[in-house]
Amino acid sequence: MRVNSDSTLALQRKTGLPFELRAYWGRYGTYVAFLVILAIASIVVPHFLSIDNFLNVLTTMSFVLFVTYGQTLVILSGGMDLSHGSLVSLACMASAALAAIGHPWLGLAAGLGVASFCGLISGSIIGITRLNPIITTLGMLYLAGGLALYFTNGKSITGIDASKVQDFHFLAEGRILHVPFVVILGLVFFFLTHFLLRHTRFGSRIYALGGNEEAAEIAGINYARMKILIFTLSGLSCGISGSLLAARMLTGEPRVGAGTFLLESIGAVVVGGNDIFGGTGNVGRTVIGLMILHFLTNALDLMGISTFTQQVVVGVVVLLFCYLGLARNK
Amino acid sequence: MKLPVRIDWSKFGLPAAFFVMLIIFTVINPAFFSARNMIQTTRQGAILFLIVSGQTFALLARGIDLSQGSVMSLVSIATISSIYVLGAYAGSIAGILFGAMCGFINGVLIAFLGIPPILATLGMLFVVSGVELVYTGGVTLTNLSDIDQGRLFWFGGGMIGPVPVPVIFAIIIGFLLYYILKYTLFGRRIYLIGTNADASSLAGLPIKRVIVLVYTVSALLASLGAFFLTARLSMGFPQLGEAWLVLAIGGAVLGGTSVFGGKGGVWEALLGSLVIVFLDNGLIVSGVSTFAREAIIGVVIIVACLGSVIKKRV
Repeated sequence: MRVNSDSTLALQRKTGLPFELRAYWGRYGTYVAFLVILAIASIVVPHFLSIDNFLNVLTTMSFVLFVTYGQTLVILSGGMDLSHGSLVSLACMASAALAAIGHPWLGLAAGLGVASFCGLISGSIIGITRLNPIITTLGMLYLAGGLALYFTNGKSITGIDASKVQDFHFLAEGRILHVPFVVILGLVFFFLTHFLLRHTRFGSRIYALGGNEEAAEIAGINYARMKILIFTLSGLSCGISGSLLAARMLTGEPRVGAGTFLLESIGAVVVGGNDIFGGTGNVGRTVIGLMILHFLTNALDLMGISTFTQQVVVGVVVLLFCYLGLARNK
Repeated sequence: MKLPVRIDWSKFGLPAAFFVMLIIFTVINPAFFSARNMIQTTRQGAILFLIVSGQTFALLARGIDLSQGSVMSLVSIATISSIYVLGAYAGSIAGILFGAMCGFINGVLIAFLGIPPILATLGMLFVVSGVELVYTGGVTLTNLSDIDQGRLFWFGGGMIGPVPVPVIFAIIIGFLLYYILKYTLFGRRIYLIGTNADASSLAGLPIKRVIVLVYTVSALLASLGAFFLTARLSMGFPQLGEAWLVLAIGGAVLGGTSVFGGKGGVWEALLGSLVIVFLDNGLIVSGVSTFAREAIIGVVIIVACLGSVIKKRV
């Protein structure tokens, strides 16, 4: 669905880079940018080029990674999900709540379930009533955010006994052969998502919807069913992130998703080179996009630059890649 | 039972619901309808009206301005910081201009770089909020001199007769905006571009110029809203605008402005703002917790939008 794009269509035709540059950038730009950033950082920043550092970054990244998988599905199908921040918070609270009373695995299920349910609602509204995904997910953002705060009146859920939930905690903090479990989990879900997109009919339908919504519907794709499924999966991906965060912190933090989760989830998809209007791209690009953002902030961190400045940089980088990506497409 | 008169619900539905809501809240707690509460609420309403009007401009051009919240926070900080240096009046103007500048940047990103409005304003949301966090380190700015504070406070908390100052400003600005949208070239161009940008471009309209102006206006209005809020608090609040974004979009869409451009305006902005502001106030007076309120307003926005979408189909 071309959301809010028509007023800029007329403008987009006039912008862009020279043709040859455009073609090369289109296919390889993202990967080149990634390598360039790694190279520069290795030279300029002390301690950057070390296994420990890389593992660290990958670990932190993994918690956000699941959310980007969901966002990739949504964006490829032509929509956008703005509710990710709150869904993660809500899932975190749900998991922590049950873990606190001694049922960590029920907590995991609850986190997944709650977030998926919210996604289901968003998807139903978007699919059945055709309401704009921006408005719907924005409403859901506040609805879920309010709910996450409501049940504890804004306070965190603490008091989870670490000794009782060791297996649950392992999900987030454990290592298998030195590799953090979350990274392995992230990898597994990467292959799942990739398989879903590339080798199932569901996946090809996602691309169809993103490429040309009207044509897709005329060809027989059930808009409502697709949107419901896509947004539910998007919610599920937030549930995974939220539950893992609860497992890691052993606290239920109602504002955990309120920071840069949304920027990272959309930013990763865009920076990775996927078309923001859908139809083209793949989840591998999203992963690279997220890695670019995370390694960049890691390098800045090691240079001693404050988190706030990092946020500005991330925002500017996302905007920059938007422009370059769009210039590429014309 | 057939009514003797046919009622056009699409026009009267919302105002009717509004009055019903007022009645319900008064029944729950008579203090709701007290003069003091009403005046307070109109003060908030004036501020929301300004911000919603800004969002309306963006929506009319088939865009959206997600950065309004952060711009408001920035303006709050910028205004107080500028007042330290320039005094109350000049400082206020400087702060507001800072905000308008962000809107200008938005406009350039969208018009000249071709970035879709959602992304451009979303990116700016984070950039602007990052910038103001860097500047303040998250700390609230206080410590205005007494003279400055007195002068500043009048804008946000003062009254002219029985009417709060922001309301007076909002009324004047509201008329100005109405005139602009309906009777000037700029205003009519916005509707045209929102309805069909390609046709407008082919017809020779200066789309880029209009878009840049639209987003500058949007941010300017949000800045004015932030200014009045800051004036009343007399503090620079780094998180000032956070809650206002969804209210701005919700208020605009609730009132009847279409997300797809070309439909809506100042009246719709006014209606939407009033409904939201009285709903929020009514919930507070009825004793509903802050967080539940957030959730409820989210639901109301979705339901209202659903209502308008379904109405179109049926």
